[in-house]
Amino acid sequence: MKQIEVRNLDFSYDENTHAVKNVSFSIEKGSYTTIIGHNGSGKSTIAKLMIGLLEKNSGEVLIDGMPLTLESLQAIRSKVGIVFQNPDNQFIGSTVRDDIAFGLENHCVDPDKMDEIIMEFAKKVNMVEFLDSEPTKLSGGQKQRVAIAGVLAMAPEIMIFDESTSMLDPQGKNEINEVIRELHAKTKMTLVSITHDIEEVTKSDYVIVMNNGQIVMSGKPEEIMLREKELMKSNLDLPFSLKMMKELEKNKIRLSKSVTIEGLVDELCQLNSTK
Amino acid sequence: MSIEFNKVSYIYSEKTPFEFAALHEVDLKLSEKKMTAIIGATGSGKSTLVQHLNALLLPSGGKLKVLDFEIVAKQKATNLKALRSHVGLVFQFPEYQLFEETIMKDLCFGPKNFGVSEEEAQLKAKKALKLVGLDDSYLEKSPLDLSGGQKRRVAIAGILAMDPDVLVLDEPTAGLDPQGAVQMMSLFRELNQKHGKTVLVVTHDMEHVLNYCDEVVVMKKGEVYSHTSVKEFFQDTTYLDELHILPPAVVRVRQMLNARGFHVPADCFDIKTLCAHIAKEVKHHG
Repeated sequence: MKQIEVRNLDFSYDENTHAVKNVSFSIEKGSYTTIIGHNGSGKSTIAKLMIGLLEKNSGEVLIDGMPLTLESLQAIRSKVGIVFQNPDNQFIGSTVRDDIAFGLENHCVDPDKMDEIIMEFAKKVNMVEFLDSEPTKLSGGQKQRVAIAGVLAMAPEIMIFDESTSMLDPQGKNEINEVIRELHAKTKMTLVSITHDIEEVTKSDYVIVMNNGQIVMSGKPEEIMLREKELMKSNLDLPFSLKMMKELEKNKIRLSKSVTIEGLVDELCQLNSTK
Repeated sequence: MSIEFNKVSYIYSEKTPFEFAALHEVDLKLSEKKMTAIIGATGSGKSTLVQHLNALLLPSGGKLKVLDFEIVAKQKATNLKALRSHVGLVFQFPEYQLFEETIMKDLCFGPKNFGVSEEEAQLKAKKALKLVGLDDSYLEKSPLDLSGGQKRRVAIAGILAMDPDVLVLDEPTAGLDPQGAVQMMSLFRELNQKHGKTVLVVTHDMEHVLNYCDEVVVMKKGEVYSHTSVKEFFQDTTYLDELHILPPAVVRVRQMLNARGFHVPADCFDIKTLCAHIAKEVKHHG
């Protein structure tokens, strides 16, 4: 079932910046979609259009078949959670606890259950010891953890992450991505992640590649990641396994195409043992 | 002339219920004209550490020497303005600090603040903009009309226009697309190698540490955990595991292959040498 449908969406910030040009795509309920593209390609603008933070020039956004309009805005926003890149822009509470509570209060969560929920999500993102700290005094990565906990706690049907782990260390990023994937598997929420991390893309079900406000390719990561020329043209990088494969080819070693490092290593080990 | 931390401690919101000790008696000596990476988990004190370099934060305990300047805890610091003209600090998300009507005005703000004439400031602005890869046609544009990556460049140019000897960058590539990140890191390396700037980069990206830096400082819970050359750092993977650091892809592949019967040498740090070595082993086997 299609949960998000975007049809012929068009948007300009002003006459010089046509940020989104006639974009159409759809996202299946419960799927994990990554959106990639260079800076300024229109990824974040699309996310903002999807929740009505920006007003489109033309086209349509449908959530569960319901068109996004001024009337449906509240109903649609209650289904969608979004975490932006810079968490400073979305803190409200004076402590981490208050900040997570704010979203829950807005969703009319039973106050008796609130403490339990706050604790559960603070634990998930490893921020329990900071519950009484001021969000503004935290480090960049800690702020991102809090912002993610705050939105996940509201249990939205659709979760949009806009580069929301960019300031986490790799270990922390893995932890948080693991938490998100676990929740995704458990709750069947629809996950949309805007990212520059090619390795994350290889783990998603579906990838959309943006360039200059348009979709240039979309499909399964294992197919898209092989289209090297188009990826480079869109200012993107190849997964490391494919870079290695090309280099090995120069050394006259031919491998089948694998988008993960693990796959490549498996194949090399087989070559080394059977030959 | 160098940068020296001597038992530097820093406590946020001292003597309030929010009191938090972010640095504990840090001793650290950074070499001049080197490019050094500062790494560590979120909240380990990286940003707090680097904000001491231009006296944006003053130590709660201990003292530090930056170039010719000395800052001692609990003593009134003097000459901070001069220090700040020598040490340029680029924050996380510097693009949020752009504020002038035109890029030219924004870039001239720093130099003029340090007493440079209007004409000279404009020359410096043009030079800095060119360094970050944007041409003169941008000068009269509003910084607010640029894309995120371009804004980041302009913000960094604003610091370069002050022509600092020491350049400190706090996660300068967070949120940039892969090619934008590579261009940015290459620029810093060039400033370091061709223009003799001392560069300090706070980063989480081990690929950047491996490919662009000379030395690496690991921060852990407000302390300097280690300070080594980059090559030394990535040779011993048991140490990386202990620190919970995901090594760069080249090192990871080497590790995985060697665990399964390959013999890739530990000083193999680039994809070309790695692949040549793998090819040799596979063929030899055949």
